Amino acid sequence: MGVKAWRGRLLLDEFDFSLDTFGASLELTVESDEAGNWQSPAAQLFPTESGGMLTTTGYYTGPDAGDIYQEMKARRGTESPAWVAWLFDTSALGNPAIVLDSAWASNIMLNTPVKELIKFDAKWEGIIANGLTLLDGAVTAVGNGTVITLPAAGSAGGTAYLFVRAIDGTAVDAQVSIECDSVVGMSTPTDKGAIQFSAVGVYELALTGTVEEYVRVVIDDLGGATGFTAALALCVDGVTQ
Amino acid sequence: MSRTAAKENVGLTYNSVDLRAHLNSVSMEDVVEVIESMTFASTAIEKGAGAPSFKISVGGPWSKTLHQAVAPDTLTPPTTLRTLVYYVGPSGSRVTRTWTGSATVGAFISNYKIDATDPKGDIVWTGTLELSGLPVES
Repeated sequence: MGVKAWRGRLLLDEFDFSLDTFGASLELTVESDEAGNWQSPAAQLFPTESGGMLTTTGYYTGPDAGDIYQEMKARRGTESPAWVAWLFDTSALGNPAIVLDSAWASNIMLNTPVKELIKFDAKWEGIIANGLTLLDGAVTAVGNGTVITLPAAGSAGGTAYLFVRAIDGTAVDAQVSIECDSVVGMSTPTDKGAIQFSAVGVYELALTGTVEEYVRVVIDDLGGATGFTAALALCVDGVTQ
Repeated sequence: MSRTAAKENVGLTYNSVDLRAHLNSVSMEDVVEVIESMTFASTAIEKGAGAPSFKISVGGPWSKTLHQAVAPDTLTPPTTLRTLVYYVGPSGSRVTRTWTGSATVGAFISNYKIDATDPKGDIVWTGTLELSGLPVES
């Protein structure tokens, strides 16, 4: 069975635009350099620089703050850091997610076919990170999140991206942390750091050193709020990216 | 002569990961550089064979397993090229080409595209595998 396209989630900073999006494609490219020599009987190539671009397609819903077209337009060519994430499969935690860090829209095309809905295509540039989704949805209590299995343990750290989409009530220094362990039971977890937040937005946590194979989020503190809605993607260097 | 169906008779392994369950199209391009060698003494166009080069275009249904096999290499290209094994044909009359990964011989991914443009369908992917050096054929 394949992965249904409609299970995707598109996040743009604190906004979840999944309901106004109906298509996306991500293209990752690696440049190749010819590396032939006098003793090579066939062409030789070597991979050099990597890059990528995300294209999203959605519906025009209005010009107000919080509307997808308006928010994308506000990030067209911006030098202010923005984050775009595509969670590929929201049917379960632990599925892949990509994050465009320092993202900006390089091209927005409004399409207005006379007999159809107004739609637009947006192309996104940024530094691409690849990871797994550790959290996606509403949080109403402190405690441990679902244990996710990485493809392997990492030794070079990584980055966690927390997209806080909504807060119920008022949060002051709500806290989410990342833990890892070498056993699935997480009997002796290692704390890899915490993110504190008091408002919606995107928060990064740089992880250093070893990231063991089993990971989870821990909701340490709601900060006085009754709950919040968020997604967290964990990108581990040398493992997921 | 009997014909051969593609299903169950094409295989591709990249970096020890069997990609068959993630593929529904594989096209291997085997190109020899054409060197024009005509001179004033020639009576017609003369061409000679240069070095060969190889490339494989792939595509199929996307999955987490597939993504974990190829995405890291597109974000952090490997310094040691990956081992790639490609075969075509049924057992007994099969052609297998193997590029064993090293600093100069092997495979890497130059293009990986994840496509979810049809909300009614599945996520699909396409990719290009660049191949460096000569394979061992068996």
